[in-house]
Amino acid sequence: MLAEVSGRLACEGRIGRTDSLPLFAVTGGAGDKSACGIANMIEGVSQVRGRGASLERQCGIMEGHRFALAGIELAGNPAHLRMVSTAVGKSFHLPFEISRIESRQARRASAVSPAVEPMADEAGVVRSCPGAAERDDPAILGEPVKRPRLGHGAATEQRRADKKDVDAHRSATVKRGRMFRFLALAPLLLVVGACKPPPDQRYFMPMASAAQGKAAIERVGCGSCHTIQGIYWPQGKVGPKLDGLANRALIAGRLPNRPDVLASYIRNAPALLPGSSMPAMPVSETEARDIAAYLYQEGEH
Amino acid sequence: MFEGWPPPILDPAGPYAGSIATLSWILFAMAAVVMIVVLGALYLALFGRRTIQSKLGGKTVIWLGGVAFPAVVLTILLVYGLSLTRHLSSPVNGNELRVRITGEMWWWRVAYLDQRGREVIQDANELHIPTGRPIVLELESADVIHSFWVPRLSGKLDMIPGRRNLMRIQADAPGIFGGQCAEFCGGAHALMGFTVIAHEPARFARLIEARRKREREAPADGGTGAQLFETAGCAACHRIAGTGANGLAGPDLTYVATRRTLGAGILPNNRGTMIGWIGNSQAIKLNNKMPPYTVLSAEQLTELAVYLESQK
Repeated sequence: MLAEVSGRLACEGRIGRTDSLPLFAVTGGAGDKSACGIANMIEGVSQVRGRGASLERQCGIMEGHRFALAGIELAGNPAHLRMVSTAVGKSFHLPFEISRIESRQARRASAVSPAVEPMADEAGVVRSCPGAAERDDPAILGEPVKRPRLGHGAATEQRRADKKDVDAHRSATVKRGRMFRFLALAPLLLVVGACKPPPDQRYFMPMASAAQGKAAIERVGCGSCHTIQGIYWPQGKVGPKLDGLANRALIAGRLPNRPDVLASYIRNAPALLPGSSMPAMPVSETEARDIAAYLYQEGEH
Repeated sequence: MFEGWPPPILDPAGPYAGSIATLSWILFAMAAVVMIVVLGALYLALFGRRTIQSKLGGKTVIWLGGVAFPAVVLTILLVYGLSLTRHLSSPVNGNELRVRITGEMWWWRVAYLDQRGREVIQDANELHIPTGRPIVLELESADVIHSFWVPRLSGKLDMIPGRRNLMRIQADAPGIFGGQCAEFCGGAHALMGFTVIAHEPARFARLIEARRKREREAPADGGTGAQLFETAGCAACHRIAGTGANGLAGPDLTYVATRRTLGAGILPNNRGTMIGWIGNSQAIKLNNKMPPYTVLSAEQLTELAVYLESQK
């Protein structure tokens, strides 16, 4: 079911025009990964007037990836992503199953819409995957196509596998000139790369701010029950310590440790686990996501 | 973290804090002028011409600058300062609203008094006042010296065991004003906060009337939470008016659900912090007199929190 997808978007740009091409990639089978997380994993190169231009990403939540757990429908990971890229000579690589690619007209009224040819045939996207209507059927979504990988080792392995694919793809598509540029940058990249490991993609929280999460934690007083890394006071002892949360497999010992589940649990724990001593907390949905982002970020250290 | 916290110290919200703030600014300004004069004299003494240096070292300058100038300036300041802040200690008529606030380690007992000085409403850690009129606070202490300080409403005044100090506060507009114990009183001194809430007079009258009614009437049956409150031992230290809970060692919980904070101005008041406080307050405020209730189950903690949420 999980298909490697490589698509190519070809369009003719006009001189002096930097039309942006919104590309809607509708993902449904990415399981534990949010759409914006996927957007960050897409490796893309576009050549504008002979120069390599970086892929410009702009993610918007088009629709929630609904996921039912214990009878409660969670707000879910954003499942639809929109990439707005300078759409000239674009090639991209998706290490995920996606259900369809839609190309849209450029929004600018003055822009002549470029000839867009989503290479769905070549990629076999539409044929091999269920249609959008089917995808959004909650009955199908109830059973994730791909099981969420749990545990740090699994994630690392997956990252390595992804990277291999990406490298192979890049070597096939990238011109040689870029290679020299890369070699010149290599020492710098090594230095930068040695500072901090890349964040775990499983816990990538799109549009959530860890700093605001910390403010929310202090405002509602999560610390009165939990000892949380980075919160100096209070350090309560009624609930579990929350450091290392990113490496934990289960929330409260029973729920899968996924960003959307964690955010919903923070907001209304008794709804997910009746009898839990953690009450519903007075935070908004956004604040709950911010808090989850903070807990994952601090928990990684 | 909370509204009104941390309280700004030079932002008066009433006449009593206002005169103190004025005096502070005048003192700052005077000190700045004296500082500039002294630094100028120092510069001349070090790098000035010989003639100026010898003049600066003369007897005239010392008598004028070192004796006459401070004597005159300080006398003027003393007279001005005393007259400016005279109303802070003006005599109490006896018909003002009176509230007795007792400092405890580490929280505040609050009792609203009637005209004859009897305590009619009990509360803790929070004071409701009407705007636009002075309120007389009777400051006492139950154990060690505390100091009552709500910076936007008045200055600091110590709470001394065995003494009753009178303080006036007044708020000109409705608002929420943070306070803090300003005299080191033991381990959790820093976690001894206070909140003053000023209401429009009509609203304040309604609030007091509702509370007087509440003190007279027994509340509706609280169910299992109320039973648990008595069997688990909470009732031995805490009072809830009209129930069997009549302990006086800890803060009165009759209106606990209306408070903005828990644990004396330190935690937001919601079900989560209530459970955290009951379950193990020692982790939050070390050495406070409430023991950790690690014997209670999750259901019992929730029941207690729900019961306390209905106390308003």
